[in-house]
Amino acid sequence: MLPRLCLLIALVTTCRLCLDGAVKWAITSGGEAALGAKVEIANLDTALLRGELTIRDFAAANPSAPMRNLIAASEANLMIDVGELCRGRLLVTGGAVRGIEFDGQRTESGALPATDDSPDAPGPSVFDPLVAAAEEKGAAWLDDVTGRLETDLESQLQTPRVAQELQDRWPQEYDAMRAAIDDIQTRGKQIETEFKEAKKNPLRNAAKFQTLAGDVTTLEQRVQALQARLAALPQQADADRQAIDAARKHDQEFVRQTLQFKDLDGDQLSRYLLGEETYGYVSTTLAWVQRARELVPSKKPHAKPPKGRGVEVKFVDTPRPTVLVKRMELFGNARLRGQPLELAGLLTDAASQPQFHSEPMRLELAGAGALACTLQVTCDRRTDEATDTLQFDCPELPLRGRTLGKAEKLAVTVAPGAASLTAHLQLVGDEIVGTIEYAQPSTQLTASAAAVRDARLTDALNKSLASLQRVQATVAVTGNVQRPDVKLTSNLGPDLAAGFNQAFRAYLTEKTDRLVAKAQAKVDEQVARLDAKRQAAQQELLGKLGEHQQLLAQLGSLTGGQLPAGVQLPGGVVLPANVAESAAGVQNKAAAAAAAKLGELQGKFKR
Amino acid sequence: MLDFLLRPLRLMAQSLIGDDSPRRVAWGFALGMLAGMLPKGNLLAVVLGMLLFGLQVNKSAGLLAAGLFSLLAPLWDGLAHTLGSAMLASPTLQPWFATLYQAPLGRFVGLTNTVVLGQAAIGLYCLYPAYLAAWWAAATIRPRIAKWLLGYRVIRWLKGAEIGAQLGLQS
Repeated sequence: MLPRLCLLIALVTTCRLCLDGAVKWAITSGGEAALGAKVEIANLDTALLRGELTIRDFAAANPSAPMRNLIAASEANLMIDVGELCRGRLLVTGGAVRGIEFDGQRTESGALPATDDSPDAPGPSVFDPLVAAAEEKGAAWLDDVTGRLETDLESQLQTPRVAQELQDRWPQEYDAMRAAIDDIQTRGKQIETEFKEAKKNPLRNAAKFQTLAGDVTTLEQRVQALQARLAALPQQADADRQAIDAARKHDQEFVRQTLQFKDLDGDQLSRYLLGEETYGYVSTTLAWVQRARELVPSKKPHAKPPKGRGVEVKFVDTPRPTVLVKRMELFGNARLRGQPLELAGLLTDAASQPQFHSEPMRLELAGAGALACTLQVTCDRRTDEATDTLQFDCPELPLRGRTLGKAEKLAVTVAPGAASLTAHLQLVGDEIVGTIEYAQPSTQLTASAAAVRDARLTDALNKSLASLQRVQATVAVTGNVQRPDVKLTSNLGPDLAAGFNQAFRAYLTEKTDRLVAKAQAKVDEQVARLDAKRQAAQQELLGKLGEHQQLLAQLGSLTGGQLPAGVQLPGGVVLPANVAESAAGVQNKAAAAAAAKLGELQGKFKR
Repeated sequence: MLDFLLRPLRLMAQSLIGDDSPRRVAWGFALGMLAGMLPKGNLLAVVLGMLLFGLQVNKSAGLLAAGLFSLLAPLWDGLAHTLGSAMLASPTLQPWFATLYQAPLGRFVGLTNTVVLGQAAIGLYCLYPAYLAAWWAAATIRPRIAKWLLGYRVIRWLKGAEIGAQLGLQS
């Protein structure tokens, strides 16, 4: 009897000593298989008779960041139903996990030894193309505006060029007329001299008189030509004026077209400013959701090959999960920016085969202290399609100051402040639908447009932002959870775009007016200078014509009464009855016509 | 160490030349046969093993039978599976099996496994014939074999070692 009793005692002692290690091994190996990272337990005590399991210093490493813990807890007390344990089920009826810490630092890597089926390095996010497109569109708009602003418009205006051409052409015109008048004068003096010589012996120089008469006729023709030329000047001036008007109209249209820009689209600007940040949050959230879904047992258990001999027949009316955590209180402490953050929560109905349990798994977490927030997660596997919901509310989320957009292009700096964040996501199968709402009711925005190197424009932008003190954004997520469609709407983009458009438009209008006025002033100056030159030339031409008139008068006086009237010169040329009178008449006629035309021309230029 | 190495031989020699009664040898053999036929890893096999070691039966014969039938039993697993399936599918027995399965430790007994139940049924069916056969062998054949074996020095030495071991002496 005694050996048998000893054997029994030894057996019980062995079981008792090995039980803790076996349970510890089961938890860590199962956890590592499910998580893909190290799961460590410093100490584990079991009290089967009382149905208690105590775990101390539990840590599960983050598979994505091996030097950080996904979750750690200082102590977990679990109340186990021993009766159900004898029936092959682990039923945790109650308990508490204390000292929960998320994302804590590890002293050694939590990565498991590399295996062939280790996950590949994460590829690019599905939101990368959206972020790139938003940034590209926003940057393209700004580049377009910048390019238009930095174009050397002044050098491309036509009005100054036309005015310059006139300024260059008119002096040539006057020089040509002046040269013609000088030539007439020179020729008149020659005729005078020759006439004086011929007058000494009229009879012998009859032929000379005939030649001189021809020269006078030629001179008269040249005077007439000059007269015609002077007569054409008003028409030329009129054409030049029309050319200046056409150039001015062209310049106005050119400047208007060049500085015209398409209004910035508000939604596009929202995506440009908030896209990277928002898509990053959504991508991270979805990655966590997917990760959590992988940890939650799927509805269809993996078909295990039968072990051993025979078939195990289960005599149960309704299948029940092998492991069920009925109720578990969660407590944790953390520090957020130096402030204590207390976490308290409740986990209910977490089952290893959730499809066999009548209630969905629920997790409720509430934060107090540095961050007041609530998180409610429901995982329902009772139906054919897995249904998960996530509700997160944080009315006062403290935010640091941050810069939205690209600092080297167009950026908006948001001052530090508190924001409310609400997220509601529902996943049915692989389809996701939900909204994430963000609102920062009171803040200060500062714009910087580094690409536009004009302080006045930046000032105008900031003036337009002065009235914008609220930032609100809503992200609607729909579609497949692997490649969801994300629609971002925010007041920031439209309000900012309206301010930007107004500021840019005012700035460009002012710049256009300034440019056109500058060109007009330059043209006016050139026209005035041209007018002054024309007046000087007119006086000069009139003076020379007056000298010429005197010359022809002298020529007339020299020839007056000394040439036989109506004499027939050799060659059939008949001298006019009174050469002097004829010459004076021609001269007077030419001078009067020239003065009239020049006066008309002056009047047109003045107009 | 030597005792550990010689123990199987001693057990075999003891089962043949021991002084146990034929009844103990027969019960040992029958229990060993039953335990050997069952697949291991269930409470039924454990209980049978404990009975084998706890009852005053010839353990040598029991262990010999258990080892022998552990090797032979898989040969008729198909028959055991068919028989077990039929019993588990019986409407008359199903409430009893359901009660057993849902009772504490019930699912660990192993009687809801087709092969365990079939082998247990076959083993129980063969238990009394095996007992009779073992009793007859122990009563009739064993004295002759013992006399013949004791003619060998090594067997005598093994028997002496067994006596020494029973007296607390190490070889």
